[in-house]
Amino acid sequence: MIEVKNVSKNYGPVSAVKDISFTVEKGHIYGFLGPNGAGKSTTMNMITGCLAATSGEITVAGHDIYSEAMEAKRHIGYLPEQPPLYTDMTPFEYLSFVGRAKGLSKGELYDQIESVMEKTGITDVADRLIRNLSKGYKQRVGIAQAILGNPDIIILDEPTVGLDPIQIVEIRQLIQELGQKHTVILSSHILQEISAVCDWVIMISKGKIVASDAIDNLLSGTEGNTSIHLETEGNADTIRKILQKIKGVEKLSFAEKGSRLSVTVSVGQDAHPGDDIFMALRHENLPVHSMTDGVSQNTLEDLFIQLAGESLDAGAAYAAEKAAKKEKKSNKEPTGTSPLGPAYYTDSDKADPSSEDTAEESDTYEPLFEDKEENDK
Amino acid sequence: MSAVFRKEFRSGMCGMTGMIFIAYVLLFLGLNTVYVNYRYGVGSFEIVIVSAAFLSLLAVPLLTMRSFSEERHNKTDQLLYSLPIGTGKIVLGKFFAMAAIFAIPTLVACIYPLIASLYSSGGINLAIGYGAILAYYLLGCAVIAICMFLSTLTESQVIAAIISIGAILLMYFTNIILSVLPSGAWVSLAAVIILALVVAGICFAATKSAVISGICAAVLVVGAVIVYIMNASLFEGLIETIIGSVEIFKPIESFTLGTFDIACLFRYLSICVLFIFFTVQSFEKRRWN
Repeated sequence: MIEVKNVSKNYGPVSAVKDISFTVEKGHIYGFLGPNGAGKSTTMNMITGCLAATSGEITVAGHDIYSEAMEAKRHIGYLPEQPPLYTDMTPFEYLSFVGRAKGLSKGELYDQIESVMEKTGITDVADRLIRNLSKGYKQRVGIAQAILGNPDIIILDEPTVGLDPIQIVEIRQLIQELGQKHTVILSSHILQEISAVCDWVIMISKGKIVASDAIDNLLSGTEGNTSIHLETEGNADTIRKILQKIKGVEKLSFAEKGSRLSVTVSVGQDAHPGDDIFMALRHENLPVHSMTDGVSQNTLEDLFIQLAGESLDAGAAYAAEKAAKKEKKSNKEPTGTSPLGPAYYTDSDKADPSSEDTAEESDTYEPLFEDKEENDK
Repeated sequence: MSAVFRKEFRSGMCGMTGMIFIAYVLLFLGLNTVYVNYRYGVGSFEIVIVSAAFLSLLAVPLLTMRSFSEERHNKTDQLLYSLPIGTGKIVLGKFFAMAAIFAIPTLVACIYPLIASLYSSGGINLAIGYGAILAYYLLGCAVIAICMFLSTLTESQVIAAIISIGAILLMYFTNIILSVLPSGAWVSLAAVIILALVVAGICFAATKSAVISGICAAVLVVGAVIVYIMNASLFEGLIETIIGSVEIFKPIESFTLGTFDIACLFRYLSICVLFIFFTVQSFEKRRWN
């Protein structure tokens, strides 16, 4: 349905999206996941034709979004991050305008409006001015305009932001219903939302796609560490010395439970040291009251932190290199390397400046800087 | 386009601004009719129109200030960009809606010459009168197009209104500006150099390239100086021509001489087309920035 090929978007010297490519197939609910300022909204704006890409190609249902914009846009219903509502209109008037603009004939216009108002639960407020509606209802009106005209693809940019928990559940249910008939792309930085609603995830971090796969595939490919929990008695230091000698034991943590000692052993991949642990403790005449082991499956959160973290590490390395070059060039105290200026450095930073520290500082602030760019846009 | 037209016309008429605008235009047309036709007994309606044109059209920014700046401020422009309507149709829809609102007081004013002719002993030349009304309507549309373009430059309605009023005042008071400027070829040369620097500034704003804008400024300035050295007489009266070209309230005055000035009508129509084109470009540019 949608093909994004080598798309980049630069805002002056700032690169918001860097050479991304992905395909959206029919009949899935896609979760577009990424931290704030990762480039989610920029990508969505480019897919919907609201924003032109600096380079690359986007086709929607086989039509190029720029050269065949009208045909491509007929397949898309879009709800931007801030619902684009004319607050001096009633939901009915607003939907009439959007329906006409989407080219609906007079006959189907009112049937469709009635149908989407029912689906989104705004029939009761159809004649009230949008400015007087609550945020939840405004969001529903925004979704109603996106699904009006029965487009094949519905793109929703953070549709549950600012809603109360009940409204969030309702909107998620609505998205799941929509997913039965349409292809839905849902952007969010809320992991629970993505895992609850979507069956496919596209992860973006710092303007790059870091993963794109079905949720199950993503999670099954990333098994968490095996850990063994056991309860024994004795001194933690002694037990540490005994267990550290065993092959496959990576990390140990201890917690006292009355007279007993609870031990959690993190085990390396493909290692099975359970028997050796048991035998070693028995050899030292230490009782083993209970012992359990198992593989913990990573959650989407673990995966996200892992993938986004890798991307951030790459960014940190680049920033470190950049800062080192800058320092070498100027041979001065590097107090102004943060994009947010020297005011964001503490006195201790100034007192003991090292190139690595400076690089870490600039990397820490970089997402904030990108957030600002995104907002400016 | 009809969807945008209907929406804009409806929001203009249902909101306060459209009503205030219509009332304001009618007030000035009415006052001038009373003074010129009844109080002073002048039997021509074109004088009413010409004398009311500037003050009544000073209210145009009230109509245009929200046309694009509000869309940008409320981020509803994203809806317009994502809908399957071309940018040209969006701009035309908005322009025609504002032109339709302006047509309401103009149509009401069409009754005035008929009423005045009932009381005029010598009769009123209705052809010239209605010609003047047509010119006035096209002048209003030209001002609407200019102010609509200015509203695409900012997301603040207030700033859009202020720069629009500034532009109308500038277009009206060009005579005064001309009278205080010293005459002579060197003044025209200075004006051309300033114009060249403005062009270079626009070039820099568009390309962000100091080299291209620098080359642009150098070529224009050096070219102007060379032409001035070779033939200074070419610059005689040039500043009057340049400034005179933005004086859009002047051509309508030809109707008071009893002529039906078609050139004036074409001039206003071409200003409309030109600024609608600029508006489309400016609105489209946002998508690329």
